[in-house]
Amino acid sequence: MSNKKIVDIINETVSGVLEQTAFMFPEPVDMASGVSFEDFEYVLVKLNYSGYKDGTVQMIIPVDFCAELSANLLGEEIGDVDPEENNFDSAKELLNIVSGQLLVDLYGNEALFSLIDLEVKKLEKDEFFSIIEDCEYHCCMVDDYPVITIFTSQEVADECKSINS
Amino acid sequence: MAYNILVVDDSKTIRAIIVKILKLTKLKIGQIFEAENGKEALDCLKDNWIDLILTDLNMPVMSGIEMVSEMARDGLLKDIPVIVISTDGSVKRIEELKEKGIREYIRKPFTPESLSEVIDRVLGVNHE
Repeated sequence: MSNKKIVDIINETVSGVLEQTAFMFPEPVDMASGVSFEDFEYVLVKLNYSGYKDGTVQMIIPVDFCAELSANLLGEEIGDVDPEENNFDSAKELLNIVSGQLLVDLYGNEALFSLIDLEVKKLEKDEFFSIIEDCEYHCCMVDDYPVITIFTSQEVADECKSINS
Repeated sequence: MAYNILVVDDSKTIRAIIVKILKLTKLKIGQIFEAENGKEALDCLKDNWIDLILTDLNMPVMSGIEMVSEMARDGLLKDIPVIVISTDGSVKRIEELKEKGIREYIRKPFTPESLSEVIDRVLGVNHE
């Protein structure tokens, strides 16, 4: 599968899940024109998938976006949602749903996967920039919030190794 | 008849969404119980009459599959209908779960309408 095709699928999947679960409507980002990542505190959610293929799916989202996501998922006003109880939980669930859908969209519904090691943590500024400098990421905007998805597959990493060797 | 329903998911947010949807359906609901994992669910089943279980698969302590397997070994619990709500989209996994006795499977993301339809079908409820 071409890289372009994978990117298209990631963008469609993230958009579809956010629209259907949280009534949020992401817009594609023109990275060439620049995106300001400076204004936010970020949360990283990450899980590993194993089975038909092995790899990792990560999402990096602003803390304030988590609050809106929780409120939209629950159909409540932001002020009515307990941030301690719900915000990280909502971020984890978003990644969980995106990952399940993404693996079906990429590899079909015959492929068996296990989603494991789901974790969430707040990122320091330098950690955030280190990740986005080192990884190939996909970004869309929901209102003014950047929503970043990083998909890695062992298969793609192996192909890169064999090309380089 | 009012139905007692047990919602099993380690995500408090997902449990809250499901409970909210249940309350919006036309189904007559007695009590809604919640559990964070399969073990808590089995404990709840010991103490309460439950008509329907809605469960996630991947949970810490005890997964949804382990819970269904435990229920299958118990004469009193094996006939309680179980609907799995999960992100896993594999046809093979769904077949495997149906062989283990689950009645229906709903993939996340789901709509309130799809959840409501499946519950009605499993409970044999007709609102007309």
